[in-house]
Amino acid sequence: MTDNCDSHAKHLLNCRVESLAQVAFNTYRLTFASNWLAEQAQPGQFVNIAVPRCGDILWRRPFSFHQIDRHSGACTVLIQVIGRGSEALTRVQPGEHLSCLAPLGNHFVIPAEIDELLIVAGGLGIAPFFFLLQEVAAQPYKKVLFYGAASADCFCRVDELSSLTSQLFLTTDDGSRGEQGLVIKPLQRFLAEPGGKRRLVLTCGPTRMMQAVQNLCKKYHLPGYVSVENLMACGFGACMGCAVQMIDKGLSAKPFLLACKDGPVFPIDEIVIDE
Amino acid sequence: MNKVAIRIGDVAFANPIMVASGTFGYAQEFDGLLDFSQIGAIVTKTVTLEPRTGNPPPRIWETAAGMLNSIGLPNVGVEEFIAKKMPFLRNLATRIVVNVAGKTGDDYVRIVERLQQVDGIDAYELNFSCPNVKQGGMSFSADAQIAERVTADVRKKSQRPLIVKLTPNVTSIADIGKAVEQGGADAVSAINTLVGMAVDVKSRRPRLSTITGGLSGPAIKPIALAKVYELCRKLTIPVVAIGGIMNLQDALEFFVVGATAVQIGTANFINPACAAEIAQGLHGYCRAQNLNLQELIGSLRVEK
Repeated sequence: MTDNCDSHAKHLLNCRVESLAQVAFNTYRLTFASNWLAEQAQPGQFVNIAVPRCGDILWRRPFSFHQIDRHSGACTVLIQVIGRGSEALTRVQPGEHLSCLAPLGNHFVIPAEIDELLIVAGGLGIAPFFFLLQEVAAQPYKKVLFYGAASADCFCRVDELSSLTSQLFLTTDDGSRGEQGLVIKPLQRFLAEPGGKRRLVLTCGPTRMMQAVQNLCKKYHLPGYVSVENLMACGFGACMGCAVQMIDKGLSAKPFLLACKDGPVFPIDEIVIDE
Repeated sequence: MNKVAIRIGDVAFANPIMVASGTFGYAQEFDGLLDFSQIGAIVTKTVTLEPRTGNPPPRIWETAAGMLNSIGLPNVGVEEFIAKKMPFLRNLATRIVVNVAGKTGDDYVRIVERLQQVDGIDAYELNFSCPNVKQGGMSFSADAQIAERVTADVRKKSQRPLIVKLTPNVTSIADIGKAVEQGGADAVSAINTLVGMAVDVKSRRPRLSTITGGLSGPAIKPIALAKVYELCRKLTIPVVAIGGIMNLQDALEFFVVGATAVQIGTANFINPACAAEIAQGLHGYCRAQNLNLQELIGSLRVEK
């Protein structure tokens, strides 16, 4: 269901910044132009962007594709300011160019014969699902989004997400919007009710949330995929730094996979979700 | 005329810009990102006798102008390397240097013996200096006698040039360099990473699963320059410089202190085409200055 992308597909691109806008607390939407990339990119894949004007910051910063306009060539990522690298990327100006290595990683492949697509996103974990929901908009199956954030001002593009989904559950830690508490709560209730026979679960977000989703998938025998975010020095399998531990099923001779190359999308029952 | 050609042992390299072991995979990862024929040599990810899975995550951490790694030499082992990786490597229009590591001195001998039967390999780099494996690696490069003996043992079995990669985590890198020269090495490469550490105050945990790891990147360049300078003064065999080279200027500095060749490491992660760009830049520099690389090597001017 996940697909290893052709290793020849990635390119080093010099992309013009089209726009930068704050979309939520500490979170920005960066759009750059690449017709080629807009044709190639698949939901779940990522771009590794060099941090401009910061000589002492070495690594590129990886971002999931958040929105792709295949016609205009506009490629958008969501940037949350975590440290100096991400902060520098939120100070770029339209017209300047960014060095982008993309597309990287594998992607979500959703079988057409499912009844319900259940997406569980926490915080910036929403990033790849906007693109995914746009891509599957014409599919007949039900799309249910469980989206949790710290507080109301941390949500990104809720109205648009609402129009892309059949059902939307919002939760916040402080109760300032939607249900108060963890996003797992409405998911638990939803799964406890009888529903579609062929469900597929996708998740991306904080470690503990993804662990909880993993446990629920196990409990309800649901197939699922998790998109992980690991530190990576290169993003294309050279540094081998972004190792992900596989769940020991006794037959695996390969205890580690690479988030950048074998992932970032993994079957939820195959990897150890850890800090 | 090629102004930048160099020689190690009896092998000629079209230019002195190589990519460092562990930063370039087995080259396939970089397919399409640069023109392999523009670089002087590819030094492969370390090959061991048996497959290795590597260290558990977290394996890397970014530091000021550098990075820490503790990858732990994951690799497919020598037999699968020959079967699966060599077919791609031997078709590339560049020199192939296979980096070799073992737990025991005998491991090095056995791997090289096996690789002697394989074509498409131009030289070996003996990894005596990985700081991230529990057994072996480091110890071979921390003890002059052992380093000399293992080099001599491998020398007997190898018909190809031997480059010995040295650690800076010793009292005197030149003593170890001298020893491997005695043992029959055709060149040394230096420096491997420096032992370093990072800590998360919030969780009170080390940032790496192995607590310490190897520091690389521009942060270590001044140290690398000093170590390479020391080696160049004490050794007669060529020194291949490694340590924080990000651009042509950095590479030129190492030639001035006496390096015969340089390896690009961490920079490959950030700009996959870096080594090819530096090689092109070096051609341009030598043309513009109307000099041969040989005139640049060791041209450091020091007041008497």
